[in-house]
Amino acid sequence: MKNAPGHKTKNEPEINNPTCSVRNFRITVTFLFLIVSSGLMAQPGLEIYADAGKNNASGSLFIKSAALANYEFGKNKIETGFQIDLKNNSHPLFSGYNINASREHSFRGYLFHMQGFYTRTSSSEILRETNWGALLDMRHKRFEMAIGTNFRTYAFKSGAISEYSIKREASKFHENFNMMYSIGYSLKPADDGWNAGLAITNFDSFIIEQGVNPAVRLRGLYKPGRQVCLYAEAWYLTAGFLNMSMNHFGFLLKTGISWNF
Amino acid sequence: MELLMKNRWMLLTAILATMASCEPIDFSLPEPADLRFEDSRTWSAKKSSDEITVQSDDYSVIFMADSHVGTSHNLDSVFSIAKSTNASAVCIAGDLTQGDKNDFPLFAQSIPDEKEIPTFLTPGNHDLWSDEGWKDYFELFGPSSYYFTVRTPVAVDMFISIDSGTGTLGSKQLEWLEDILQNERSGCRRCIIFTHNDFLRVRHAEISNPLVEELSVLIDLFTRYHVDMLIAGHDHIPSEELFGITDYVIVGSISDNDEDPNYMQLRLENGNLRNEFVNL
Repeated sequence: MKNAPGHKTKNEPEINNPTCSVRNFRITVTFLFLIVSSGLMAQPGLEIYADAGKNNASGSLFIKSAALANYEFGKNKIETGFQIDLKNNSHPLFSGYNINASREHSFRGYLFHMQGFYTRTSSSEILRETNWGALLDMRHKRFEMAIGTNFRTYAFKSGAISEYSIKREASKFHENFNMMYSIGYSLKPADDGWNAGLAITNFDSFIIEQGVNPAVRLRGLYKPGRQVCLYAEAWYLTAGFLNMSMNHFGFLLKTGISWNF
Repeated sequence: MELLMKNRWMLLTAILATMASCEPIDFSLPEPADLRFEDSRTWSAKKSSDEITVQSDDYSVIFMADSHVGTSHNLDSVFSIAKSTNASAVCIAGDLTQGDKNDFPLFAQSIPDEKEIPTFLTPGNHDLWSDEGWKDYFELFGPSSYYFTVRTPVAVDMFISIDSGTGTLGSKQLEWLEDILQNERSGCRRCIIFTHNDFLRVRHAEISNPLVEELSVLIDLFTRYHVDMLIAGHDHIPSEELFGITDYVIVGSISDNDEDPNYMQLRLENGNLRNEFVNL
Protein backbone atom coordinates (compact mmCIF):
# COMPACT_ATOMS: atom_id res chain seq x y z
CA MET A 1 0.00 0.00 0.00
CA LYS A 2 1.49 3.29 -1.03
CA ASN A 3 -0.05 5.19 1.84
CA ALA A 4 -0.27 3.49 5.20
CA PRO A 5 -3.63 3.88 6.92
CA GLY A 6 -3.74 7.02 8.94
CA HIS A 7 -0.98 8.58 6.95
CA LYS A 8 -1.62 12.28 6.63
CA THR A 9 -1.16 14.05 3.34
CA LYS A 10 2.03 15.99 3.04
CA ASN A 11 0.64 18.06 0.21
CA GLU A 12 -0.71 21.41 1.12
CA PRO A 13 -4.46 21.53 0.75
CA GLU A 14 -5.51 23.09 -2.52
CA ILE A 15 -7.38 25.99 -1.03
CA ASN A 16 -4.48 26.55 1.33
CA ASN A 17 -2.16 26.38 -1.61
CA PRO A 18 -0.75 29.93 -1.88
CA THR A 19 -1.39 30.12 -5.64
CA CYS A 20 -5.03 29.07 -5.28
CA SER A 21 -5.69 31.27 -2.26
CA VAL A 22 -4.06 34.26 -3.90
CA ARG A 23 -6.12 33.70 -7.07
CA ASN A 24 -9.40 33.52 -5.14
CA PHE A 25 -8.38 36.48 -3.05
CA ARG A 26 -7.54 38.51 -6.16
CA ILE A 27 -10.87 37.70 -7.79
CA THR A 28 -12.72 38.77 -4.68
CA VAL A 29 -10.66 41.93 -4.18
CA THR A 30 -11.12 42.84 -7.83
CA PHE A 31 -14.87 42.55 -7.46
CA LEU A 32 -14.79 44.52 -4.23
CA PHE A 33 -12.63 47.21 -5.84
CA LEU A 34 -14.89 47.47 -8.87
CA ILE A 35 -17.94 47.69 -6.68
CA VAL A 36 -16.55 50.28 -4.30
CA SER A 37 -14.67 52.44 -6.78
CA SER A 38 -16.92 52.62 -9.81
CA GLY A 39 -18.44 56.05 -10.27
CA LEU A 40 -21.35 54.61 -12.21
CA MET A 41 -22.68 52.65 -9.32
CA ALA A 42 -26.19 53.26 -8.22
CA GLN A 43 -25.83 51.63 -4.85
CA PRO A 44 -22.90 49.63 -3.57
CA GLY A 45 -23.21 47.79 -0.29
CA LEU A 46 -21.10 45.82 2.11
CA GLU A 47 -21.97 43.19 4.68
CA ILE A 48 -19.65 41.80 7.31
CA TYR A 49 -20.60 39.15 9.80
CA ALA A 50 -19.13 36.69 12.27
CA ASP A 51 -20.38 33.21 13.15
CA ALA A 52 -19.64 31.27 16.30
CA GLY A 53 -21.06 27.82 16.83
CA LYS A 54 -20.60 24.21 17.70
CA ASN A 55 -21.94 21.08 16.12
CA ASN A 56 -21.48 17.33 16.31
CA ALA A 57 -18.82 17.40 13.62
CA SER A 58 -16.86 20.50 14.63
CA GLY A 59 -15.18 19.00 17.70
CA SER A 60 -15.14 22.33 19.49
CA LEU A 61 -16.34 25.89 19.07
CA PHE A 62 -15.72 27.30 15.62
CA ILE A 63 -15.58 30.96 14.64
CA LYS A 64 -15.94 32.21 11.11
CA SER A 65 -16.19 35.59 9.51
CA ALA A 66 -17.28 36.70 6.08
CA ALA A 67 -17.34 39.85 3.99
CA LEU A 68 -19.81 40.25 1.14
CA ALA A 69 -19.86 43.22 -1.20
CA ASN A 70 -22.80 43.98 -3.42
CA TYR A 71 -23.73 46.42 -6.11
CA GLU A 72 -27.26 47.28 -7.18
CA PHE A 73 -27.91 48.89 -10.54
CA GLY A 74 -31.53 49.29 -11.43
CA LYS A 75 -33.25 46.03 -10.74
CA ASN A 76 -30.03 44.05 -10.86
CA LYS A 77 -27.70 43.13 -8.06
CA ILE A 78 -24.40 41.30 -7.97
CA GLU A 79 -22.73 40.15 -4.82
CA THR A 80 -19.46 38.45 -4.02
CA GLY A 81 -17.65 37.58 -0.86
CA PHE A 82 -15.32 35.31 0.98
CA GLN A 83 -15.31 33.46 4.25
CA ILE A 84 -12.48 33.16 6.73
CA ASP A 85 -12.26 30.44 9.38
CA LEU A 86 -10.84 32.09 12.47
CA LYS A 87 -11.08 29.01 14.66
CA ASN A 88 -11.66 25.55 13.29
CA ASN A 89 -10.12 22.11 13.66
CA SER A 90 -9.64 21.23 10.04
CA HIS A 91 -10.46 24.07 7.71
CA PRO A 92 -7.88 26.33 6.14
CA LEU A 93 -8.01 30.09 6.75
CA PHE A 94 -9.76 31.01 3.49
CA SER A 95 -12.60 28.54 3.58
CA GLY A 96 -15.13 29.88 1.13
CA TYR A 97 -15.83 32.09 -1.82
CA ASN A 98 -19.11 32.94 -3.47
CA ILE A 99 -20.66 35.05 -6.17
CA ASN A 100 -24.28 35.59 -7.07
CA ALA A 101 -26.38 37.75 -9.33
CA SER A 102 -30.05 38.56 -8.95
CA ARG A 103 -32.75 40.54 -10.70
CA GLU A 104 -35.93 41.97 -9.27
CA HIS A 105 -39.23 41.21 -10.93
CA SER A 106 -42.81 41.98 -10.12
CA PHE A 107 -45.86 39.90 -10.86
CA ARG A 108 -49.39 40.97 -9.94
CA GLY A 109 -48.06 43.37 -7.36
CA TYR A 110 -45.68 40.87 -5.76
CA LEU A 111 -41.97 41.62 -5.80
CA PHE A 112 -39.60 38.71 -6.15
CA HIS A 113 -35.95 38.11 -6.96
CA MET A 114 -34.44 35.54 -9.30
CA GLN A 115 -30.95 34.66 -8.22
CA GLY A 116 -28.14 32.57 -9.66
CA PHE A 117 -25.19 31.68 -7.45
CA TYR A 118 -21.91 29.85 -7.23
CA THR A 119 -20.23 28.90 -3.94
CA ARG A 120 -16.96 27.16 -3.36
CA THR A 121 -15.97 26.05 0.10
CA SER A 122 -13.17 24.04 1.58
CA SER A 123 -14.88 21.25 3.50
CA SER A 124 -11.68 19.88 4.97
CA GLU A 125 -7.98 19.80 4.21
CA ILE A 126 -8.50 17.22 1.48
CA LEU A 127 -12.04 17.90 0.32
CA ARG A 128 -13.80 20.84 -1.29
CA GLU A 129 -17.42 21.49 -2.12
CA THR A 130 -18.89 23.56 -4.90
CA ASN A 131 -22.50 24.55 -5.28
CA TRP A 132 -24.26 26.39 -8.03
CA GLY A 133 -27.92 26.89 -8.52
CA ALA A 134 -30.87 29.22 -8.74
CA LEU A 135 -33.13 30.70 -6.12
CA LEU A 136 -36.44 32.53 -6.24
CA ASP A 137 -37.30 34.61 -3.21
CA MET A 138 -40.37 36.62 -2.41
CA ARG A 139 -41.53 38.83 0.40
CA HIS A 140 -45.12 39.72 1.14
CA LYS A 141 -45.83 41.94 4.14
CA ARG A 142 -44.46 39.93 7.06
CA PHE A 143 -43.88 36.67 5.22
CA GLU A 144 -40.78 35.80 3.28
CA MET A 145 -40.10 32.67 1.35
CA ALA A 146 -37.50 31.32 -1.01
CA ILE A 147 -37.30 28.19 -3.07
CA GLY A 148 -34.55 26.98 -5.31
CA THR A 149 -32.30 24.21 -6.42
CA ASN A 150 -28.59 23.58 -6.15
CA PHE A 151 -26.08 21.29 -7.80
CA ARG A 152 -23.45 20.14 -5.36
CA THR A 153 -20.10 18.57 -6.10
CA TYR A 154 -17.80 17.10 -3.51
CA ALA A 155 -14.30 16.82 -4.91
CA PHE A 156 -10.94 15.78 -3.57
CA LYS A 157 -8.26 18.40 -3.84
CA SER A 158 -5.42 17.71 -6.21
CA GLY A 159 -2.95 17.09 -3.37
CA ALA A 160 -5.20 14.40 -1.92
CA ILE A 161 -5.77 12.77 -5.31
CA SER A 162 -2.09 12.07 -5.74
CA GLU A 163 -1.36 11.37 -2.07
CA TYR A 164 -4.08 8.73 -1.71
CA SER A 165 -3.87 7.41 -5.29
CA ILE A 166 -7.49 8.34 -5.96
CA LYS A 167 -8.72 7.44 -9.43
CA ARG A 168 -9.78 10.49 -11.45
CA GLU A 169 -13.26 9.09 -12.03
CA ALA A 170 -13.67 8.58 -8.27
CA SER A 171 -12.44 12.02 -7.29
CA LYS A 172 -15.82 13.77 -7.57
CA PHE A 173 -19.35 13.10 -6.45
CA HIS A 174 -22.28 15.10 -7.83
CA GLU A 175 -25.69 15.74 -6.35
CA ASN A 176 -28.15 17.21 -8.83
CA PHE A 177 -31.27 19.25 -8.17
CA ASN A 178 -31.10 19.44 -4.38
CA MET A 179 -33.90 21.44 -2.87
CA MET A 180 -33.34 24.79 -1.18
CA TYR A 181 -36.04 26.51 0.80
CA SER A 182 -36.69 29.17 3.37
CA ILE A 183 -39.94 30.23 4.92
CA GLY A 184 -40.12 32.90 7.54
CA TYR A 185 -42.30 35.34 9.36
CA SER A 186 -41.31 38.75 10.74
CA LEU A 187 -43.05 40.71 13.44
CA LYS A 188 -42.96 43.94 11.44
CA PRO A 189 -42.91 44.95 7.74
CA ALA A 190 -39.54 44.93 5.99
CA ASP A 191 -38.94 48.69 5.98
CA ASP A 192 -39.41 49.15 9.72
CA GLY A 193 -36.58 50.42 11.94
CA TRP A 194 -36.36 47.17 13.83
CA ASN A 195 -37.64 43.71 13.31
CA ALA A 196 -37.54 40.16 14.56
CA GLY A 197 -38.51 36.98 12.84
CA LEU A 198 -38.37 33.24 12.72
CA ALA A 199 -37.53 31.13 9.69
CA ILE A 200 -37.04 27.52 8.71
CA THR A 201 -34.41 27.10 6.07
CA ASN A 202 -31.69 24.79 4.80
CA PHE A 203 -29.16 27.32 3.54
CA ASP A 204 -27.00 30.27 4.47
CA SER A 205 -24.37 32.27 2.58
CA PHE A 206 -21.68 29.57 2.47
CA ILE A 207 -23.52 26.38 3.32
CA ILE A 208 -26.43 24.50 1.83
CA GLU A 209 -27.68 21.60 3.88
CA GLN A 210 -29.67 18.76 2.40
CA GLY A 211 -33.35 19.59 2.07
CA VAL A 212 -34.10 16.88 4.60
CA ASN A 213 -32.09 18.69 7.30
CA PRO A 214 -33.84 21.97 8.09
CA ALA A 215 -32.53 24.58 10.52
CA VAL A 216 -34.47 27.05 12.60
CA ARG A 217 -33.26 30.67 12.45
CA LEU A 218 -34.27 33.40 14.85
CA ARG A 219 -33.31 36.86 13.61
CA GLY A 220 -33.40 40.32 15.05
CA LEU A 221 -32.33 43.52 13.31
CA TYR A 222 -32.04 47.20 14.05
CA LYS A 223 -31.52 50.04 11.60
CA PRO A 224 -29.89 53.02 13.30
CA GLY A 225 -30.00 54.93 10.01
CA ARG A 226 -31.30 54.51 6.48
CA GLN A 227 -28.05 52.99 5.25
CA VAL A 228 -26.95 50.77 8.12
CA CYS A 229 -28.48 47.61 9.49
CA LEU A 230 -27.25 45.66 12.51
CA TYR A 231 -28.46 42.12 12.93
CA ALA A 232 -28.07 39.06 15.07
CA GLU A 233 -29.17 35.51 14.41
CA ALA A 234 -29.42 32.30 16.37
CA TRP A 235 -29.52 29.04 14.41
CA TYR A 236 -30.52 25.62 15.64
CA LEU A 237 -29.58 22.66 13.47
CA THR A 238 -31.27 19.30 13.63
CA ALA A 239 -30.41 15.89 12.23
CA GLY A 240 -32.76 13.14 11.15
CA PHE A 241 -35.77 15.43 10.90
CA LEU A 242 -37.54 13.34 8.26
CA ASN A 243 -36.51 10.02 9.78
CA MET A 244 -38.99 10.04 12.63
CA SER A 245 -35.90 9.96 14.87
CA MET A 246 -34.51 13.42 15.40
CA ASN A 247 -31.34 14.53 17.11
CA HIS A 248 -29.74 17.81 18.06
CA PHE A 249 -26.91 18.62 15.64
CA GLY A 250 -25.61 22.05 16.53
CA PHE A 251 -26.15 25.73 17.03
CA LEU A 252 -24.80 28.90 15.52
CA LEU A 253 -24.80 32.51 16.64
CA LYS A 254 -24.27 35.17 14.04
CA THR A 255 -23.92 38.90 14.26
CA GLY A 256 -23.33 41.27 11.42
CA ILE A 257 -23.62 44.71 9.93
CA SER A 258 -24.60 45.79 6.44
CA TRP A 259 -24.15 49.17 4.79
CA ASN A 260 -25.73 50.58 1.69
CA PHE A 261 -23.42 53.38 0.65
CA MET B 1 -78.14 33.75 17.10
CA GLU B 2 -78.98 31.56 20.07
CA LEU B 3 -79.09 28.50 17.80
CA LEU B 4 -75.70 29.44 16.32
CA MET B 5 -74.14 29.72 19.80
CA LYS B 6 -75.67 26.41 20.80
CA ASN B 7 -74.20 24.73 17.69
CA ARG B 8 -70.76 26.18 18.47
CA TRP B 9 -70.87 24.81 22.00
CA MET B 10 -71.95 21.43 20.68
CA LEU B 11 -69.11 21.45 18.17
CA LEU B 12 -66.58 22.41 20.83
CA THR B 13 -67.89 19.68 23.14
CA ALA B 14 -67.63 17.13 20.33
CA ILE B 15 -64.02 18.18 19.56
CA LEU B 16 -63.04 17.97 23.24
CA ALA B 17 -64.72 14.58 23.63
CA THR B 18 -62.89 13.27 20.53
CA MET B 19 -59.55 14.60 21.79
CA ALA B 20 -60.13 13.09 25.23
CA SER B 21 -60.81 9.69 23.73
CA CYS B 22 -57.58 9.66 21.70
CA GLU B 23 -54.25 8.25 22.84
CA PRO B 24 -52.04 11.06 24.11
CA ILE B 25 -49.48 12.09 21.50
CA ASP B 26 -45.90 11.46 22.62
CA PHE B 27 -43.67 14.35 21.55
CA SER B 28 -40.63 13.12 23.49
CA LEU B 29 -37.43 12.97 21.46
CA PRO B 30 -35.48 9.74 21.09
CA GLU B 31 -32.33 9.12 23.06
CA PRO B 32 -29.64 11.43 21.68
CA ALA B 33 -26.71 9.87 19.88
CA ASP B 34 -24.22 10.81 22.62
CA LEU B 35 -26.23 9.04 25.32
CA ARG B 36 -26.59 5.92 23.19
CA PHE B 37 -22.86 5.99 22.63
CA GLU B 38 -22.21 6.22 26.38
CA ASP B 39 -24.48 3.21 26.96
CA SER B 40 -22.57 1.33 24.27
CA ARG B 41 -19.28 2.10 26.00
CA THR B 42 -20.48 0.62 29.30
CA TRP B 43 -21.22 -2.62 27.47
CA SER B 44 -17.86 -2.63 25.72
CA ALA B 45 -16.12 -2.15 29.05
CA LYS B 46 -17.66 -5.45 30.20
CA LYS B 47 -16.97 -7.32 26.99
CA SER B 48 -13.92 -7.09 24.76
CA SER B 49 -14.32 -6.70 21.02
CA ASP B 50 -15.32 -9.86 19.22
CA GLU B 51 -12.91 -11.74 17.03
CA ILE B 52 -13.95 -14.40 14.56
CA THR B 53 -11.29 -16.85 13.46
CA VAL B 54 -11.63 -18.44 10.02
CA GLN B 55 -9.49 -21.25 8.62
CA SER B 56 -9.09 -19.81 5.14
CA ASP B 57 -8.18 -16.46 3.66
CA ASP B 58 -11.31 -16.79 1.53
CA TYR B 59 -14.47 -16.09 3.50
CA SER B 60 -17.78 -14.27 3.21
CA VAL B 61 -19.98 -12.00 5.31
CA ILE B 62 -23.67 -11.42 4.59
CA PHE B 63 -24.94 -7.83 4.82
CA MET B 64 -28.60 -6.92 4.91
CA ALA B 65 -30.75 -4.03 6.12
CA ASP B 66 -34.27 -2.82 6.76
CA SER B 67 -35.94 -6.06 7.82
CA HIS B 68 -38.72 -3.98 9.46
CA VAL B 69 -39.97 -6.86 11.61
CA GLY B 70 -43.25 -7.11 12.09
CA THR B 71 -42.93 -10.29 10.16
CA SER B 72 -39.67 -12.11 9.58
CA HIS B 73 -40.08 -14.41 6.58
CA ASN B 74 -37.32 -12.82 4.47
CA LEU B 75 -35.08 -12.31 7.48
CA ASP B 76 -35.29 -16.01 8.34
CA SER B 77 -34.59 -16.90 4.69
CA VAL B 78 -31.38 -14.88 4.62
CA PHE B 79 -30.22 -16.43 7.89
CA SER B 80 -30.85 -19.88 6.36
CA ILE B 81 -28.85 -18.90 3.26
CA ALA B 82 -26.04 -17.55 5.43
CA LYS B 83 -25.84 -20.82 7.33
CA SER B 84 -26.03 -23.00 4.22
CA THR B 85 -23.32 -20.99 2.43
CA ASN B 86 -21.03 -21.07 5.48
CA ALA B 87 -20.88 -17.31 5.78
CA SER B 88 -18.60 -16.27 8.62
CA ALA B 89 -20.96 -13.61 9.96
CA VAL B 90 -24.16 -11.71 9.27
CA CYS B 91 -24.41 -7.93 9.68
CA ILE B 92 -27.71 -6.06 9.65
CA ALA B 93 -27.56 -2.33 8.96
CA GLY B 94 -30.51 -1.00 10.90
CA ASP B 95 -34.28 -0.75 10.83
CA LEU B 96 -34.40 -4.22 12.28
CA THR B 97 -37.96 -3.53 13.41
CA GLN B 98 -40.86 -1.27 12.56
CA GLY B 99 -40.36 0.35 15.95
CA ASP B 100 -43.19 -1.25 17.88
CA LYS B 101 -42.21 -2.56 21.31
CA ASN B 102 -43.42 -6.07 20.41
CA ASP B 103 -41.22 -6.18 17.30
CA PHE B 104 -37.94 -6.37 19.25
CA PRO B 105 -38.54 -9.81 20.85
CA LEU B 106 -39.88 -11.05 17.49
CA PHE B 107 -36.67 -9.98 15.79
CA ALA B 108 -34.59 -11.51 18.59
CA GLN B 109 -36.29 -14.87 18.01
CA SER B 110 -35.02 -14.92 14.42
CA ILE B 111 -31.36 -14.43 15.33
CA PRO B 112 -29.49 -17.75 15.18
CA ASP B 113 -27.36 -18.93 18.06
CA GLU B 114 -23.90 -17.32 18.02
CA LYS B 115 -22.30 -20.77 17.61
CA GLU B 116 -24.27 -21.27 14.39
CA ILE B 117 -23.42 -17.90 12.91
CA PRO B 118 -22.33 -14.68 14.65
CA THR B 119 -24.73 -11.79 14.01
CA PHE B 120 -23.87 -8.11 14.31
CA LEU B 121 -26.48 -5.39 14.44
CA THR B 122 -26.74 -1.63 14.28
CA PRO B 123 -29.94 0.37 14.90
CA GLY B 124 -31.89 2.41 12.39
CA ASN B 125 -34.32 5.27 12.75
CA HIS B 126 -37.34 2.97 13.02
CA ASP B 127 -35.74 1.09 15.92
CA LEU B 128 -35.20 4.36 17.78
CA TRP B 129 -38.29 6.32 16.96
CA SER B 130 -40.17 5.66 20.19
CA ASP B 131 -38.76 6.82 23.52
CA GLU B 132 -38.45 3.16 24.60
CA GLY B 133 -36.76 2.13 21.33
CA TRP B 134 -33.15 2.45 22.42
CA LYS B 135 -33.87 0.87 25.81
CA ASP B 136 -35.46 -2.15 24.13
CA TYR B 137 -32.69 -2.39 21.55
CA PHE B 138 -29.91 -2.07 24.12
CA GLU B 139 -31.41 -4.62 26.51
CA LEU B 140 -31.80 -7.24 23.80
CA PHE B 141 -28.92 -6.60 21.42
CA GLY B 142 -26.31 -4.57 23.29
CA PRO B 143 -24.16 -1.73 21.97
CA SER B 144 -24.62 0.14 18.72
CA SER B 145 -21.05 1.42 18.35
CA TYR B 146 -18.45 -1.35 18.38
CA TYR B 147 -16.17 -3.29 16.11
CA PHE B 148 -15.25 -6.88 15.48
CA THR B 149 -12.41 -8.48 13.59
CA VAL B 150 -12.08 -11.53 11.37
CA ARG B 151 -8.74 -13.28 11.72
CA THR B 152 -7.64 -15.40 8.76
CA PRO B 153 -4.42 -17.45 8.63
CA VAL B 154 -2.67 -14.47 7.03
CA ALA B 155 -4.43 -11.23 8.07
CA VAL B 156 -6.99 -9.50 10.25
CA ASP B 157 -9.94 -7.58 8.78
CA MET B 158 -11.90 -5.02 10.75
CA PHE B 159 -15.67 -4.40 10.71
CA ILE B 160 -16.99 -1.33 12.54
CA SER B 161 -20.62 -0.65 13.43
CA ILE B 162 -21.56 3.00 13.80
CA ASP B 163 -24.91 4.26 14.99
CA SER B 164 -26.51 6.82 12.67
CA GLY B 165 -30.09 6.02 13.60
CA THR B 166 -30.98 9.57 14.57
CA GLY B 167 -29.33 11.18 11.56
CA THR B 168 -26.01 12.01 13.19
CA LEU B 169 -23.18 10.10 14.84
CA GLY B 170 -22.95 12.63 17.64
CA SER B 171 -19.67 14.20 18.71
CA LYS B 172 -18.61 11.41 21.10
CA GLN B 173 -19.10 8.58 18.64
CA LEU B 174 -17.27 10.56 15.97
CA GLU B 175 -14.35 11.03 18.35
CA TRP B 176 -14.40 7.29 19.14
CA LEU B 177 -14.44 6.39 15.44
CA GLU B 178 -11.43 8.58 14.79
CA ASP B 179 -9.65 7.03 17.76
CA ILE B 180 -10.37 3.47 16.54
CA LEU B 181 -9.19 4.29 13.03
CA GLN B 182 -6.09 6.04 14.33
CA ASN B 183 -5.07 3.28 16.73
CA GLU B 184 -6.46 0.02 15.33
CA ARG B 185 -6.73 0.49 11.58
CA SER B 186 -3.04 0.13 10.78
CA GLY B 187 -3.01 -3.41 12.23
CA CYS B 188 -5.77 -4.58 9.94
CA ARG B 189 -5.80 -5.43 6.26
CA ARG B 190 -9.32 -4.32 5.35
CA CYS B 191 -11.67 -1.93 7.10
CA ILE B 192 -15.40 -2.09 6.48
CA ILE B 193 -17.89 0.17 8.26
CA PHE B 194 -21.60 -0.54 8.42
CA THR B 195 -24.35 1.78 9.57
CA HIS B 196 -27.97 2.57 8.81
CA ASN B 197 -28.10 6.01 7.14
CA ASP B 198 -26.70 6.13 3.63
CA PHE B 199 -24.00 8.77 3.27
CA LEU B 200 -23.92 9.79 -0.38
CA ARG B 201 -27.15 11.08 -1.80
CA VAL B 202 -27.19 8.99 -4.97
CA ARG B 203 -30.81 9.74 -5.77
CA HIS B 204 -33.69 11.94 -4.66
CA ALA B 205 -35.43 10.63 -1.59
CA GLU B 206 -37.19 12.08 1.41
CA ILE B 207 -34.87 10.29 3.82
CA SER B 208 -32.18 11.91 5.90
CA ASN B 209 -28.50 11.79 5.14
CA PRO B 210 -25.77 13.12 7.43
CA LEU B 211 -25.46 16.90 7.46
CA VAL B 212 -22.82 18.19 5.07
CA GLU B 213 -20.45 19.22 7.89
CA GLU B 214 -20.52 15.70 9.33
CA LEU B 215 -20.30 14.04 5.94
CA SER B 216 -17.18 16.05 5.08
CA VAL B 217 -15.49 14.99 8.32
CA LEU B 218 -16.40 11.34 7.71
CA ILE B 219 -15.20 11.31 4.09
CA ASP B 220 -12.00 12.91 5.30
CA LEU B 221 -11.53 10.21 7.96
CA PHE B 222 -12.38 7.38 5.58
CA THR B 223 -9.78 8.62 3.13
CA ARG B 224 -7.01 9.26 5.63
CA TYR B 225 -7.45 5.85 7.26
CA HIS B 226 -8.22 3.84 4.16
CA VAL B 227 -11.74 2.68 4.92
CA ASP B 228 -12.45 0.26 2.10
CA MET B 229 -16.20 0.13 2.23
CA LEU B 230 -19.13 1.90 3.89
CA ILE B 231 -22.22 -0.28 3.91
CA ALA B 232 -25.58 1.32 4.68
CA GLY B 233 -29.27 0.64 4.34
CA HIS B 234 -32.12 3.13 4.79
CA ASP B 235 -32.76 3.82 1.10
CA HIS B 236 -34.17 0.34 0.34
CA ILE B 237 -32.67 0.50 -3.17
CA PRO B 238 -29.24 -1.07 -3.66
CA SER B 239 -26.47 1.06 -5.13
CA GLU B 240 -22.72 1.36 -5.17
CA GLU B 241 -20.54 4.43 -5.65
CA LEU B 242 -16.77 4.66 -5.43
CA PHE B 243 -15.76 8.05 -4.07
CA GLY B 244 -12.13 8.56 -3.19
CA ILE B 245 -10.83 5.21 -2.02
CA THR B 246 -14.04 4.17 -0.28
CA ASP B 247 -16.82 2.16 -1.87
CA TYR B 248 -20.16 3.54 -0.62
CA VAL B 249 -22.64 0.69 -0.81
CA ILE B 250 -26.37 0.75 -0.04
CA VAL B 251 -27.91 -2.67 0.46
CA GLY B 252 -31.56 -3.16 -0.36
CA SER B 253 -34.34 -3.96 2.02
CA ILE B 254 -35.27 -7.47 3.14
CA SER B 255 -38.61 -6.34 4.53
CA ASP B 256 -41.44 -8.76 3.82
CA ASN B 257 -43.33 -5.78 2.42
CA ASP B 258 -40.62 -4.96 -0.11
CA GLU B 259 -41.30 -5.97 -3.71
CA ASP B 260 -37.65 -6.68 -4.48
CA PRO B 261 -36.05 -7.87 -1.27
CA ASN B 262 -32.33 -8.41 -1.51
CA TYR B 263 -29.17 -8.71 0.52
CA MET B 264 -25.46 -8.46 -0.21
CA GLN B 265 -22.81 -11.10 -0.04
CA LEU B 266 -19.34 -9.75 0.60
CA ARG B 267 -16.50 -12.12 -0.22
CA LEU B 268 -12.95 -11.52 0.88
CA GLU B 269 -10.69 -13.58 -1.37
CA ASN B 270 -7.08 -13.21 -0.28
CA GLY B 271 -7.94 -9.72 0.85
CA ASN B 272 -9.76 -8.71 -2.34
CA LEU B 273 -13.30 -7.47 -1.78
CA ARG B 274 -16.04 -8.87 -4.02
CA ASN B 275 -19.59 -7.80 -3.31
CA GLU B 276 -22.73 -9.08 -4.97
CA PHE B 277 -26.36 -8.04 -4.50
CA VAL B 278 -28.57 -11.10 -4.30
CA ASN B 279 -32.34 -11.07 -4.83
CA LEU B 280 -34.40 -13.25 -2.58
